[in-house]
Amino acid sequence: MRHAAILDTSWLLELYGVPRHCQKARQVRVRKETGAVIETGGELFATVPMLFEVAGHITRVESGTTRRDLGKRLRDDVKGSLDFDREGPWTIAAHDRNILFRSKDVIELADRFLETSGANYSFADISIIDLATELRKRDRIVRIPTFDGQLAACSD
Amino acid sequence: MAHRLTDFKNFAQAEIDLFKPLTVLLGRNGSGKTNLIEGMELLAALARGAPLGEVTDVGRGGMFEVRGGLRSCVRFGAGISRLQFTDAVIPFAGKRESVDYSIELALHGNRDIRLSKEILKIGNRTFFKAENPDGEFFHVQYDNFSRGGNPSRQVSATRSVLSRYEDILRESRANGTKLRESERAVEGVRNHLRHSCIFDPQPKAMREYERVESRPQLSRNGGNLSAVLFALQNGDKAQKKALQSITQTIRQIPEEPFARIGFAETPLGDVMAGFVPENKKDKKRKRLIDARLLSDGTLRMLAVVTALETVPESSRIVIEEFDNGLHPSRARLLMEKFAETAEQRELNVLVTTHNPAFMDALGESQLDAVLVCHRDGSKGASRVTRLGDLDVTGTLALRGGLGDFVTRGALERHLAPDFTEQRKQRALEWLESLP
Repeated sequence: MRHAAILDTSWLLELYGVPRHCQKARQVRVRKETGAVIETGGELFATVPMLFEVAGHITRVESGTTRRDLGKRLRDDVKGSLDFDREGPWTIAAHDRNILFRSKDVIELADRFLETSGANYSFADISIIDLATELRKRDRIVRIPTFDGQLAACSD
Repeated sequence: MAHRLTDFKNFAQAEIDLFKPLTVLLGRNGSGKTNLIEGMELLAALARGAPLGEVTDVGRGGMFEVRGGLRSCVRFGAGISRLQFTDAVIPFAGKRESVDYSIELALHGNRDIRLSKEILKIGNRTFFKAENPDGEFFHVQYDNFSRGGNPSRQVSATRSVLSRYEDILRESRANGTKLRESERAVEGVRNHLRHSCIFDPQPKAMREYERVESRPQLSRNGGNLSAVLFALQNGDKAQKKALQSITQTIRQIPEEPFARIGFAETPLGDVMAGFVPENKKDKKRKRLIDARLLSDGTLRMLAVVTALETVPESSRIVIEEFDNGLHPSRARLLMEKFAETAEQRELNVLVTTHNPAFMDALGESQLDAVLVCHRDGSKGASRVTRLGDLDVTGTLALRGGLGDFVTRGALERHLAPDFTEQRKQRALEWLESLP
């Protein structure tokens, strides 16, 4: 069984050091834990809705220079993860692989959003939970490093 | 169900399941795709009783031809090559039992190849075990389903024991009921090991007049395509339906607007197929556009679709590099046709391809049927890896599709033994680079 870790919005914000979404003490812990996942051979995954959330937080950063630097980092990481030539740090996988291209998948995501409204899950949370299910089908032990107790409970 | 090859040609170990509706074999030139197919076909030929002396190099006129002849079958430095069929389930004695059949080719001296060992197990019974210590005769020990020890016989080692099972058993004082059951079970094994219908359509060969026959089988190079289509037109209801299906598929090619498939006939009873243009009012376009005027790609596609519709139901079809000369836009159309016809006619279709457009046309469920032949540098041999085992299938569409994955060389990187370690290092570097 191989290990997989799905990046959560708050986790990636800490890793990137996005102002107002990161605290030094937590950032140290996040980097240490992420490093431990990678060291044990775990593959990092990111979902598209989670990346939208991260991008949304970056747009609200007050400093233009920091915003630009963070935007460049996000762009480079996304590009690297989708580019076969570069093989980026994490693998981008949507809750359905075609979510960017088929309206039907966005509708499915919206349906799931409604179904889980009682649990207060966001689109990003749902995409992470669904990806975890998919990865388990592919014999992965899945971990969701997060500060969200509900999401953390979805880890193996 | 699986075919396994051990030390066959450039494979140290290889496994393939040929019983899926569609199997797609990828791999660079020289990676072993054709060797893999030859291994399966050689096993089928031996199981059906092809004499070893009739297995020859290509063009030498043997009953079964293999590139490089028999000598090339045993992997260099190995001495013995094993062809195995396993994981199948067949009925025997009121139960469904698993089958394990293997036959070995051994290098005898420096040049001769002999059948050296053959075993058939069904359930927990060893139906027979044959060994050839001196190179000439099999010493066969077999189960006669009676009390007492298993009898043995000596038979020539020129052909497989499996193909002569009934003859061997007939001489024994076997339990009658079990004997018939065992014969049926062995026939079941032989049916599983049937030959494939192999096609390598050559458009050049399709541009000739062909003699009309009543029920012709499409030849390997498609040379008798016109005669096959003509027979369908003049055949029974099922044959007419097959022609209709072929026409419907070909009509979907946007650049070939035609009404139907037509024929030019000679007084001698020879025919040449062609397309009858759609616009009948236009006199200039009324005449038949015969095969001589059709493009290589169109003829190739016509032959592939005809093969799918005309092989006997439940056949296995192998089409190597089926998309040579085909425009990428036709790949998706053919892909859909493969999937649809294989399901309807219970065919097992195996195709090899280098066409990125065809790879991109594969649906997510079909990606599981993709096998990759590749060189394993650490073992100095070729290997077969399921694409699904690479763990990229879930993200391929987002990342540009399988075609892009292959053409950019990413497939080879993923197959490299140190890929996981490299990915780990990249991720750690990324973590280090964060501000």
